[in-house]
Amino acid sequence: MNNKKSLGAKLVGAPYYLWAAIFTVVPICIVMYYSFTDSNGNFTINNLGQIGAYMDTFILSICLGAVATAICLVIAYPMAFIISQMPASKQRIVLILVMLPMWINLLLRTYSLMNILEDEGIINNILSFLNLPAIHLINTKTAVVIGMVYNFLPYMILPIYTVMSRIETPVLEASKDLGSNWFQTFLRVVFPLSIPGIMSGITMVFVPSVSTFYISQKLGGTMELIGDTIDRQFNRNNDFNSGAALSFILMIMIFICMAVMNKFSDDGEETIVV
Amino acid sequence: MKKFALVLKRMSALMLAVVVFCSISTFAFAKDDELELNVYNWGEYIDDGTDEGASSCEYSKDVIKAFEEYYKKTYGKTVKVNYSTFENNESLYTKLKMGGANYDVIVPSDYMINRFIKEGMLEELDFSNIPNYANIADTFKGDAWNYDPDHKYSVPYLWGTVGIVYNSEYVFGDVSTWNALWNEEYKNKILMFNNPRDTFAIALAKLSSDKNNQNITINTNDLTYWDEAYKLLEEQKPLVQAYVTDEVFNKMEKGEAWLAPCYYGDALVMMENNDKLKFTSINNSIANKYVDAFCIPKGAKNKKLAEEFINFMCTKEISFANACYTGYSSPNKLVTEDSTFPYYQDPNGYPADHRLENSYEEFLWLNPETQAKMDELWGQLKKAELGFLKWIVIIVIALVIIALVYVIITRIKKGNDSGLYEDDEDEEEEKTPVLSRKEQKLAEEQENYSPILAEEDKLE
Repeated sequence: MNNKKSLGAKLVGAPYYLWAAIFTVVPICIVMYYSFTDSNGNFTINNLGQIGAYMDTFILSICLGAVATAICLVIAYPMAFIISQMPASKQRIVLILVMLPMWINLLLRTYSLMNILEDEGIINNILSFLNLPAIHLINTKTAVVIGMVYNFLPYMILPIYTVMSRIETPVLEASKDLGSNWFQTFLRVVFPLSIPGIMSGITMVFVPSVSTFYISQKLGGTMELIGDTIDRQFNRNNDFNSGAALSFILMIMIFICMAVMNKFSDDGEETIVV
Repeated sequence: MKKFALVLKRMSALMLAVVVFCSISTFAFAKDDELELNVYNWGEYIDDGTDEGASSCEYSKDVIKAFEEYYKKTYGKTVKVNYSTFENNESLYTKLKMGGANYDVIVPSDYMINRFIKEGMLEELDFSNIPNYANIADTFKGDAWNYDPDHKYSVPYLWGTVGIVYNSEYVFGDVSTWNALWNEEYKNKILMFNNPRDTFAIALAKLSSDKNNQNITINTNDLTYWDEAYKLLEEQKPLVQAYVTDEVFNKMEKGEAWLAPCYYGDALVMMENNDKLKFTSINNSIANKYVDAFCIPKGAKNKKLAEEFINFMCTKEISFANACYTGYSSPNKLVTEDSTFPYYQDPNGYPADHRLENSYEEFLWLNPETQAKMDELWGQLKKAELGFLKWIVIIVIALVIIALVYVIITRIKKGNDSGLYEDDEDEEEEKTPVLSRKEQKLAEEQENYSPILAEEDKLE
């Protein structure tokens, strides 16, 4: 039905399309140009060959991103459900609390997280004050995952909350009327309706987690994730071509991951509907 | 959520517009008689007057403001200094090379100056406009420093040496050799620089003293030495807590780490905040000495004014203030010969000239092949090693792909039964682009029905 839009409607959308063209399409084209050329501008596919050398880094990034996303989902889903059940005035306050950390810069938050997790940091100081054994957190994979979860959790809560707050009470009442208990209502009504929120939440957490570079640098010690590698290629080595190639590969990998998830979710919806 | 994303996008568009507008308006409203000078320096690398009164330095002041006032007084013209900072030499290079920026004065380090000279990116300085260049110590104008071989392009600003900073509460042995950073006793308490040049310099210096081979320098272009240095670093990696930049301050001061290679100027700051910390220079092998110097990039709009600025920075008061504020060593002999200078005759900050010439070496710009080798080895050092975990993940991914293929196949099968109708409609539309009004209405109605109902409709 898109072709039925009036000229006015098209014009309203124009700034956005212009924006998307200049800041999304053109940069992607530039990334592709650099990926397939060498430093003299000649066509080459050697840059993409690096994927072999950085395979472990790619896999590590995707694994940590997936773990962080899963933890975010486990924390955020009940949280979003609880918020959506609250009275409206309370909802506003709690939502502000959820978003509050986002008002502070990610770099700052990660830097302070470093101070919290360190061997001489706040957590271990409290533990030693209570005469409990110290735990080593900083410079481990756990610390990096904690950093990702902490930084990206709001991006999981908000979309799920948005979807859940749209589920109207009559729907739940109808489900009860038809004899479902609490659990059945959740499984067959609330959960299927919240799937779109879960999907966009996963996208919004997984993508930045996989491509993050600051968090792993500060919390991961000697660990390097793929974002760090790309950052290094651009900023340190001034090697735009291989940096772009790595970004390009990362983009494709994320795209595949998202496609896989979307396929499964579409399928899931269908089976539930049918 | 899409709405949220849209709002976010619109907000950033608005912000961008505001920023663009502001920058345009500053250009537009800048007065004709007002000069502009764009200075690009390292962060936290100039006296901004915040120490005034508090410190022991009698000259402390806001240096940039002082220059603006001085210029107004001497020439009667207003000059506006746009002072901005960079994080490392490489980002400075990228910025200059991409040509997006316009700077009059930059302060790169030795090896980057060397590179800029080799690539013809600097203006030759007119020293008749910089009479205070005479205040710079003669060592900086001789053979001890080779980054600017003819001393034509740069005026030294601040310099320093690398040594080891350590926590005397935990570290008792002798740490005045690079071997201390390879000591198993300090496992996970060692920090290293998060950049290849500094880290490889340490490994090359250690290699040189291990093999007692004077030919191995930190600027060597012999790739086999780089391979051997890499082996040393690989061996060291399990002992290293982290490769750090600015976090070194925090981690050393809190006792989170015990040992770190460090610039003396930085060590002074740490030692001020934790009196357990000590600094030692390296005794048995080479260490890095560096200098950051004023240069004028090619295409600078206001060369004369830039030289005026450099000249001003070489006056005794200003050099004194900057050396006090930053803690780095000053090349200005009027400062170092003044006995009221807080770091007067400090052996770590101002090693004797013969030591400076023999035990320290500055970085020079490496051959492109060596540079590429270094970047490659650094990537190899830093990349993740997963071992058996890798295979588990690959198997999982393979399973997911198989599952996906299965899902797609079952869908196609399903599609043959029910999804076919929609495809048909599409084709029909393509064949007959102009639909009658009735047909259009029908199509609209069908859109609202579920496919199954619609199909029934059609059958009727």
